[in-house]
Amino acid sequence: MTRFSAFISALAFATALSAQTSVGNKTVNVGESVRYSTLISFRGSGVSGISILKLKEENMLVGALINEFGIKAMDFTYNCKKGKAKLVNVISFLDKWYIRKVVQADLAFMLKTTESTTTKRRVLTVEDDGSIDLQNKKYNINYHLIPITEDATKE
Amino acid sequence: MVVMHMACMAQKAATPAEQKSMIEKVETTAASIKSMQCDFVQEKTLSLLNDKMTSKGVMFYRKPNQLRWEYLSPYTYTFIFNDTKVLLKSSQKKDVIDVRSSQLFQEIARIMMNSVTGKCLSDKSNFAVTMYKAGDEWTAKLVPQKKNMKQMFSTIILHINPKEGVVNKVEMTEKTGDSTVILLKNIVKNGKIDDKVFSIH
Repeated sequence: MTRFSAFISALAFATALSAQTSVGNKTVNVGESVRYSTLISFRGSGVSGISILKLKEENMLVGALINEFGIKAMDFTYNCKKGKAKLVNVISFLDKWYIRKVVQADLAFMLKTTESTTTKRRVLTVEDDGSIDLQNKKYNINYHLIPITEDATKE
Repeated sequence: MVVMHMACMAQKAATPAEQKSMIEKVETTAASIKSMQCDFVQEKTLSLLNDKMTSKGVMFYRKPNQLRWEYLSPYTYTFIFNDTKVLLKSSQKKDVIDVRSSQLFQEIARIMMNSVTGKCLSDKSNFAVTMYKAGDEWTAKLVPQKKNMKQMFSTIILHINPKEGVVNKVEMTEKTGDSTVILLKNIVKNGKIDDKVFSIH
């Protein structure tokens, strides 16, 4: 009986874990979303706005980067189990195969890593306040995400 | 998107002569706008996330190239476009960007400034315009003509107050079907705006 209870508890714990994921140091449950003020800069150019990441279903994180006026720069999916990101829609200015390839790989790296990490190609910094900075050293692309906390004035 | 198109169709398309005079009225107003400020409510529909995002804030515009777009709710976030520089300011940090090399920043800021002032009705190289009228509202349906713009939007619909000749609602529909509706309220034209409002320092 004790063994059976322990098994059920372990199963419940495993199920609960798969129904959540981490973005930086934030935990996101199924149906929940997190928002970041975002700046992606590359070779003197850039795109800014608000990123929304939502755990749509178990192991499936979906996200979008929307500029300040509501125009979507890109949206993407991230399979938490496989650690793979896929850009779904990308604004025309950025919609080049080589940009897609690099951004997808950077997003996957960012979303599967929850602590500050340095590799040959990338430097990821996760701050205590939840900010995420990713530098792609090879292509000189910087991703700068600052968590947005909803104000008490929310209506 | 379907609802937006149906709303347009429910209105009567203007005759060519009416369209000309309506556009002239908006152009005259747009030309007279040296500055503008208003409150806004922005509603974004995201199909992939199955989510709707509503934000509120204030907007300040000053000719020719100054725009402050400030979210006040549900979070605070400010975007200031001042000639060649952009300031992005959240409650925690700020970033300044030089936009001279960023086609995207310039293009999007230009579309927004031209949409809220109504100047894009005379931008024939970028948009095919059809005017509609119903009761006390005019509607302009703008269909992008250039490749880059077409890839960004399928239509932009401007709702115009005919008495004032000013835009009070902007509906942007993307190629993916996602839409953004921006409602402009308490519009003040040519009021004095402090230089600090557009300061990027």
